[in-house]
Amino acid sequence: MATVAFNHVTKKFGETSVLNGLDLEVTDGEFLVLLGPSGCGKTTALRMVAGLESPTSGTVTIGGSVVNDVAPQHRDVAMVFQNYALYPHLSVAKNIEFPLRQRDVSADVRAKKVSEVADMLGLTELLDRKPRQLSGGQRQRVALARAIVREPVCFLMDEPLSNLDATLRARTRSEIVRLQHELGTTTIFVTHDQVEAMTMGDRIAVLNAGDLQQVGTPTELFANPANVFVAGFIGNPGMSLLASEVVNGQLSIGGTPTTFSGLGVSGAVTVGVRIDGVQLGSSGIAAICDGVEVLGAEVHVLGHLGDDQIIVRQAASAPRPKIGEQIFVELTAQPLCFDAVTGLRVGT
Amino acid sequence: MTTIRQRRSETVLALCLVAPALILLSVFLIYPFFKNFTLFLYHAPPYPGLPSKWAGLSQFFDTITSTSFLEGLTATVIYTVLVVPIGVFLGLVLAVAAHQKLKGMAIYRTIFATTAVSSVAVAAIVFGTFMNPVLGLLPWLGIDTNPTILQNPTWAIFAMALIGLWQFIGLSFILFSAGLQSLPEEVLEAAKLDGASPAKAFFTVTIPLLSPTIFYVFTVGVIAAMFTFGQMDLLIGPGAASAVHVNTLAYQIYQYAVTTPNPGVAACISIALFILTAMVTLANFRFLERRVNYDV
Repeated sequence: MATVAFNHVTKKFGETSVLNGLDLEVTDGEFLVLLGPSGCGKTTALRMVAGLESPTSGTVTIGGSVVNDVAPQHRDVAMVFQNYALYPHLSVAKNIEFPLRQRDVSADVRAKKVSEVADMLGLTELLDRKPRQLSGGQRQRVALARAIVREPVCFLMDEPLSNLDATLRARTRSEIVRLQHELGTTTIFVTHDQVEAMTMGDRIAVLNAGDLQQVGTPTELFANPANVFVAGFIGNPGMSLLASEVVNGQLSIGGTPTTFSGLGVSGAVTVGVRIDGVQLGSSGIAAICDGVEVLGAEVHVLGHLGDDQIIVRQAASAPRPKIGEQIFVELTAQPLCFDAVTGLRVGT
Repeated sequence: MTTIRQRRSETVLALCLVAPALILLSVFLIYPFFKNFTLFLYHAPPYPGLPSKWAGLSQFFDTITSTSFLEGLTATVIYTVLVVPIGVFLGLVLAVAAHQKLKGMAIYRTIFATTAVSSVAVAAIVFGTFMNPVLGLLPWLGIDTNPTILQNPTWAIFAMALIGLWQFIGLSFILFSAGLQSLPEEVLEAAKLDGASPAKAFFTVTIPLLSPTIFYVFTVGVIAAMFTFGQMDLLIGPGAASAVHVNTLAYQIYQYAVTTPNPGVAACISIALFILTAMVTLANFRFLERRVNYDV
């Protein structure tokens, strides 16, 4: 186990900058999720810890030692790839013992460790099979077993759940969290799925376009997003972000005054409201209905005010607005305010 | 109605597209292949125009037990053994070297691959010049070339193999380069992270994953080597080929079919070479293919 740190790490591919001065520390035994949309640099950051990419500038440290020039095989980190990257010509047992073989571990110890790990992950019955004879979920478990068996200082996981179906993904999520807690190994988990991030990580680091947006616990990120990107990205659905104005201390959205004041800001702002902080009403902020998503017990009414999208929750039994119809939205909780230009959090 | 008409016109179009290849294959491959099986049963007439005389299988057995056939077989086997394993090995080594992400590799790739697209005539002229006792490299290197390499019964087959090897390395290199590029990058990265040194990763991961390509290159190489005669004809010729032990079976077919026409014997050697090639290929499949991993 070890602390992993990025110290002002920059990565460029030619003229394209993928990471811009990343500063981030993953503490010993922590489960940190790198979250962001495609192309934000999260996988590149992970690959730099693995040694599969080199930083253009800055340093990566594992256990306090700079590893920029250390070859992947000497970093003692294990990685689980998106496509599992199992050795197709080897059986499950040989796949799992592969890292031990490379370290010249004796046959007895190898057999014992493979058996233990296979037992831990429910792979005992599958040890003689080849990867092609396994389902996606089973392959995923073999990849985890191969990572666990060598007891590395750090686990790196690159969207390992993205190829699984929804049910299996939910089950495997909790299985990985359980294993990580049992083993206590520092883990960096890359995903673009904020539900995975929220449910798995001790902390989440949100990246966008190569810049670190915010680091915090899932609760912190949900309740106190640092900027509009995090506000819109975290939560299911994310915050609705609406262009607003604070005049004489009172918040007005789309020209409609609200009851909220004392926000500690003035002038043009962007307000963020969660789905449970708004409701449909007979008066309030006027919007146009864009559609209705039926989710079983509830429905989400999608609307827009000018260029801004808003989502409102409604009971499944309530009358549903039609597309193109005018709806009125009332705020039921104090919204968060963001600077209209920089997008950074402002006010109280 | 429209669907039926549409299907018909699609069928006509498909036939039109297939026709050129089908005609070429029929004229130069399918017809000659079956014609062989009638030719080998008849003695060629002493003068063109006279009727052929029925020989049955006796001509075939006489041919394959003759001294010249056995000499040809020996030359073919030696040539194949010299060219194919070394060609496979060097092609792989060059492909692995060119697969490294280094500057200027595209130039090397082009150089390595050119030998595959050079005709045997070009190769024969280039190597013929190198081996020339007056103008070539050998006297310049101080090597005694009397008799010349191409007239030397011990070294002539090596000279022929060198030319074949030069050409085969290009093909081998191209196929291995394609094979290496199609390997799953993540699996090779996983091997690195699992602690495998570059050499261990190569032997325990790259080679097994590349085994279908290795098997293919080997099989194609063996077949091509068994049918080689271009450089023998261009540099040595039918008169001296037997004396310097380079009169391969394919060259004998050419001689009996073109130089001193005896279509019956040419057909007998063709069929023998066909059976031999088929047996070697089947043996490759039987004994080597079981080691090939097709899982990716």
